[in-house]
Amino acid sequence: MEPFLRPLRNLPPGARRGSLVLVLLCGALLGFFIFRAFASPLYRQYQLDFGAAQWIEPAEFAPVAYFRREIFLNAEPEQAWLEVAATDSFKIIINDRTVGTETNLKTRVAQIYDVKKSLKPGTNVIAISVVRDSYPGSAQLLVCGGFKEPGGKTGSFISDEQWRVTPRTGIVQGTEEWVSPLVQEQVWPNARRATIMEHPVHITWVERNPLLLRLPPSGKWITAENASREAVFSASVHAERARPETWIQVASSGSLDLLVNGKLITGMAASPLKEPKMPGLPRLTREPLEKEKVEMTTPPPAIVRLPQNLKPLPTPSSSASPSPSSSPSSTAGPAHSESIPELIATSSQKPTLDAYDISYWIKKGPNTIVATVRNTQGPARFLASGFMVRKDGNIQQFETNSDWRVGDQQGAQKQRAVEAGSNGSAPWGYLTQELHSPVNLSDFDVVAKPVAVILLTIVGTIALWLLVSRFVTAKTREALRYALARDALFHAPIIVGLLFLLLPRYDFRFPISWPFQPKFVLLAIVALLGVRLFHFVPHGRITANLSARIRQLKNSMSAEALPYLLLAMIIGLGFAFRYHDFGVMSFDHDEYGEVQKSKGIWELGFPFNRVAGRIRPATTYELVPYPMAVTSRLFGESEWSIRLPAVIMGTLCIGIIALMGRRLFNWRTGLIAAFIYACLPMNIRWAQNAFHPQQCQFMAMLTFWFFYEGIRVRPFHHKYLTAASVTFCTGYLSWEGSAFILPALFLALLVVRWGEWWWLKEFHLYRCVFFMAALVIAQFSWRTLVSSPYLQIGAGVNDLAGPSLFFLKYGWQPRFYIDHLLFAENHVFFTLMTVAGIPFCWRQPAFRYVVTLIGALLFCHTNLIAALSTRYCIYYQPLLILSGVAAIVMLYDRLLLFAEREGNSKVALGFAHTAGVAMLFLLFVQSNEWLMKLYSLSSPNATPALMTRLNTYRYDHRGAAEYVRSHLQPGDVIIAGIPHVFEHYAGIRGNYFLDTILMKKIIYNSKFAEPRFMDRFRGYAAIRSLKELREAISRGRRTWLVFVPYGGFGHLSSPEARVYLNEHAKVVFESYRGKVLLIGGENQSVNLSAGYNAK
Amino acid sequence: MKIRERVELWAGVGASIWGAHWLLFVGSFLVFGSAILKWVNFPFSRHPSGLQLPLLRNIELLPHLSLLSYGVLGACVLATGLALLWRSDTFLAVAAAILIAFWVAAPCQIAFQQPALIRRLNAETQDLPMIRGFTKSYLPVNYGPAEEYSKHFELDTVWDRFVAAYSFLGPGWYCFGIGSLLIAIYSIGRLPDERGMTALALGGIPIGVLIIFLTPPVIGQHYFISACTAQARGNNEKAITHYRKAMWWDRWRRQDINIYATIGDLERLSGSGEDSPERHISRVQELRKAREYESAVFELSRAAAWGGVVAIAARCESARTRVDFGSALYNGGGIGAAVTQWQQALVEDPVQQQGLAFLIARGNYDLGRYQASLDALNGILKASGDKPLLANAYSLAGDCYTRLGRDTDARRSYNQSLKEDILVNFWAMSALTGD
Repeated sequence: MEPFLRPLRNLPPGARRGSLVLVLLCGALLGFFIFRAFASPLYRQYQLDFGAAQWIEPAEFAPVAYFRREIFLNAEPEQAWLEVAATDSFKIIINDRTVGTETNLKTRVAQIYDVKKSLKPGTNVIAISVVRDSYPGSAQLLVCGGFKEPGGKTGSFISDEQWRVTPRTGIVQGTEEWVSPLVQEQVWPNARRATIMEHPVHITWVERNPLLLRLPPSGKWITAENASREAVFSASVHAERARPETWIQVASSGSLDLLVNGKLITGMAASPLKEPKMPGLPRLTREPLEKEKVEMTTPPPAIVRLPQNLKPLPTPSSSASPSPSSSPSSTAGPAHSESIPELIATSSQKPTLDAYDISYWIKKGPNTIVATVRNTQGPARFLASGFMVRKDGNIQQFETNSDWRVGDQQGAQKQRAVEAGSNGSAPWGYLTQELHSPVNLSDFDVVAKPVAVILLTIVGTIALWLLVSRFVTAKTREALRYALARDALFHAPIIVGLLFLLLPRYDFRFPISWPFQPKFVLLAIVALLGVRLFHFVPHGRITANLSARIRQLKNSMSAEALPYLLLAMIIGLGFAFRYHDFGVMSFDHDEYGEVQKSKGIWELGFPFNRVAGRIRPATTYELVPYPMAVTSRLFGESEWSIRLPAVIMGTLCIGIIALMGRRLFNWRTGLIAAFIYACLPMNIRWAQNAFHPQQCQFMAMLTFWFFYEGIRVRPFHHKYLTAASVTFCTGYLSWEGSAFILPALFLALLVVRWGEWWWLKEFHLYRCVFFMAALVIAQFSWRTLVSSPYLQIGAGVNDLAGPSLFFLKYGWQPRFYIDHLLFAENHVFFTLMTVAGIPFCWRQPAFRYVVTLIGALLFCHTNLIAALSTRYCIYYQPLLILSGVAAIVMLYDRLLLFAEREGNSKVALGFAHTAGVAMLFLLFVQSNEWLMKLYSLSSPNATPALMTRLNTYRYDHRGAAEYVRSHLQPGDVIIAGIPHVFEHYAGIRGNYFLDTILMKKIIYNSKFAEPRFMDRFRGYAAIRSLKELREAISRGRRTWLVFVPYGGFGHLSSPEARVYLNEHAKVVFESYRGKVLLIGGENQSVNLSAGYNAK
Repeated sequence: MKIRERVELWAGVGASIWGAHWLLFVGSFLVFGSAILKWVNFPFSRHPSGLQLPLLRNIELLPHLSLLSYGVLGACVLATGLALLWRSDTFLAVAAAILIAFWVAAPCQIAFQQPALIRRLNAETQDLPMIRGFTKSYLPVNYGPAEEYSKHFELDTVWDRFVAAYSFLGPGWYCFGIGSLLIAIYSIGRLPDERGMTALALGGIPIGVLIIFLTPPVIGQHYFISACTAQARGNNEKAITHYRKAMWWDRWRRQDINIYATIGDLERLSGSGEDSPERHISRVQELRKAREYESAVFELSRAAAWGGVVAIAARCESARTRVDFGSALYNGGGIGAAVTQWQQALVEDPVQQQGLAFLIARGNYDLGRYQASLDALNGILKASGDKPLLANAYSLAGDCYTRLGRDTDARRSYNQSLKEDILVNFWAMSALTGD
């Protein structure tokens, strides 16, 4: 080992570390590709073939649509499959039975289903609801299905204009559900062919090979001649090459162990903990996640308590033994009959046909399949069918039949199996097909194999590096250190290339195994070998012209003006992105809450709400309404004018990031960070939203910048410290959570001025701290005191927003911001580069400053505030961009320096430039949706929020309110979910606010004619129970219930109220996360596209 | 003026000490602090702190201070290292190595040495949704957010078990680890010559601990895979032999009811082992599928009569069967019988089935046995660390007090419920506010 590594001593320590890092990284990445391509391939994915099916949509614009199609079958099908693709999300219900649901924001999500058990003889209703959150465009659907009836009669159906579609379920008269076969489909409008903007249309990949469902059912049930309870079936399948795509579907009458060439594919030995417990209770609803609660789009199934448990028993009974009638079990011992037909009939549950991808274990030539079936209650029976994809693309099928061999135990004499019936025969009929993954019980496959492959590749890469360098030295007669350094540099572009290759794995348009094709691995190896030829390229020739051109370019324009010119262009581009359609979406409830307060500024000089005649001054986000007040006074009140300050601040933030980057690092860092920030979807979305995050981010970034300017010199720059204090206060008054900036700045000061203590004597620092602390305490006290006069119940975010030892309480989620900020889909590479940059760039004070701020703020928000939300990290999110870019630029500079000092060649310099520029391009590409749509790059725990991707609609308050206004009749009662936004858009006052589970804060008001609780925004009387709901409904001819966001329906309604509304209310309008329900009166048709602004 | 100079002097001294030893200060603070933080996140039970998590024994129903706990031993080791620092820096380095060994040992111990603990953690994780579901189905609802717990249920391989154990570890373990690493960095930096070799040698301590913990389960896993493969080939005798070897090597496998059932199946099919505990256990699964719970419990009692480790596994399974039986009875209206089954389950397996006390309390409430319900709830309030469940327990206690006419106690219970869980605690809030 020692002589092998001795050449490394020729390199200076810094160069040695740099070279080793490059080579190790390249080896590790290459090893990972080799592992995935050869040793442990990812599962296959498939594109569905929809044939002649057409994308269809409702005739009128509708983001939510309910599609229906009836098909008639003469008999129960022996085979039936359904392929579905739809915009964003869909749910399939066939004959009242939910077949499946899929969701993926901003994608055309697809799936294939086995529906043979859902179809029945007679009329079948295929009902598909599609909910689209991306805009513009209606909910669209693509369907292709087929079935085969006994006797060979086949049928198929595709999506076309024959399908029926409605944007609201209220079209159905009476009490029938929209999916019911009793619904008169003729009154439903026909679907129309969809107009699709994007070309080509990308549909997500599915994991199940469609052939599994499309190929006709095959295979025979086989058993041993003596119908033994245990049988080992075996057969040999010939493959013309190694690892062809091979699928096998198996079913058995008992427990099954399946071996393919000695590899256990499925076995009965599984941990009991994996099996879900069967508590024997009635079917329980899964507890929805908080996010799901908010975004729930369909009413959850009502839970009604069982009548027998409603009341305590009238006479307490001391009897402990169950009554015979109530006992679900029979106490008689099981009597096992030896009669085989009986045993089959009473043996375990109905088997399923489980599909496994066994390609990886198939070798060239004969392959042994062994299946052991054990059935303690009857004869062991087995069925298998499979196929292998040949080189020419044809299918080679195999199945169980009498050619299979059977024995009781291994080593026993094998006999031919006996066919006991074909697939579909009694007693089980045609089996449900399910997709499974082969079991993996080996730690070797899970841990040892990847580690071994990657380590071996690293060793190989290092060996190659050393050998090639020696060879080059011998040939060119230059010093070994130059060859070593230059050769190490050659690895840099290959690292970046492999990283680029990795990206499509996270893009929904590619199958996840796409980057791990053997040809790419071979290409990488060839590149790794071929790149060594550049050692022999005459130095200087290639890059000389390029250098001259760059010098010429620099001379032709003023070097000082260029960055500002570029910055102006970036700001212009960023403004264009932010300005585009920023007034299209309706206000959400948070935004309009601020708008409401802003109206008070011109009246009394401070933001307030007037609730039930009483003035309630703003106790949070105090400064957010001021810019709104100005713009609404200048341009009138509209979404455009109210959001204008956010757009402006978002645009100005681009400039701040550029200038901050320039002052902390250099112009390149600043400009690149600004460019990335300008194009990052999350930042564009928040700049189009009038709520606090954009303003808070703007102020926070100024604070970070000014504070650094203040502490970078000795003595501290007082004016900058003062400016930082002022911007901190404005940021704090925009959102109180930004108070954590204070400890973060203190920590950053310690880290930047590490080992220095002179600043402790800086009196101005204490003055600033005192000023800021006084404001924080005053605001906190104000918030607490102002709330006290109200008698209110319920809880809100305000109760949690103060600092607390959250990490000791329940609900603490230590990974929340790691998942939702550091590993959110567009932030992953920034985080990785920041972490990678820490060992290399820590000496740079500015880098230390930024990284410390990020770490401290992450820590504080995770552990010290009992409210977690993705918007709470927006104010310091640009720091992550800045640190990621700074790390790459510094590494780029290091590479250049390394190439200049040690590479001894312009070629090395060229490679350093190539790698650096490519890395920056990679960072840009993964930060937005322009080239790659890396929707699955996020941490698995980070579900994409609505503000993560462009062109997703949040809540359509406007559409719902306008619908109610246009259909309101005298004597109608209105129950509004979000009263203030409803009033704004409808221009009319509602009557009630629904909160039957006391979730929201409601205030007791004795001034009502009948004293009761009221909502805190507009003072509507609060409905707290089903009794009050019924009473409110009885007061009007018709009752409108406006639920935007629709999650509010589940959120604010008790199960009893939900059951009541499900029974009595009709959904008459649906839009983005919103529904309008009507109780009483006839349903009226409506043209949604008329006057619909969101379109 | 004098005071200012003195303050400046002390500040300067303090700053220089901090600058030189900050790694030690922060590391020691984290290690000592970790003793009072929770080390293991139990979904239902109270979370044990470092002072309550025993190093060698299994944790009991109610965690209590243990002298041989991670927290106490960690603090002692560190204190010793610090006390001997004036003699040699090596002592602190050794202390750091031992602390890191403790840190590594914690997940290994849960995963490999204490199968009952990881089984309990998983059982509680799976039972909690059942209890919450029960609450939603039969009780006024607390709509507040539920705490999320580890959901790593894959326990097939040694690695899976390690990951599962790791996923239950709490902030105390993380603080202990970070503190130990900081102290290790500090102490290695202060070592005299040959610090690389010393560091490597000290690194052998945690690595040795890891190897000691890992070896038996890895060998057990090897035999388990061999057994599965032999079974798939139809070689029942070999499969049984290898299953038994896997159980001998690996404590986890020794308490795995599925393996006993599999062995029993194989014995029955090959006609060997006329009357063995495994054969009784193998029948249980069929009986449970057929919902013949009483027969299943009877078979398990016969298996338990054989004694030894199989008896422990059989009793646990019997308790689980009784839980299902009780739930089915409750669903069918046989509340009294359900309560009896649950009480018997609690007797058979008081540690893993303690969540049942909540169901027992509800059953007693339904039957009008309010005092018995309150007694059961007291058990929950002592044992549970799950806030929403505690809130529901207080609310149910409030209902019981209301029925008993003790309005003051009822009001106090509802208020306690709101203290435990303020978010959308409809049950307590509606009971307090009235119509």
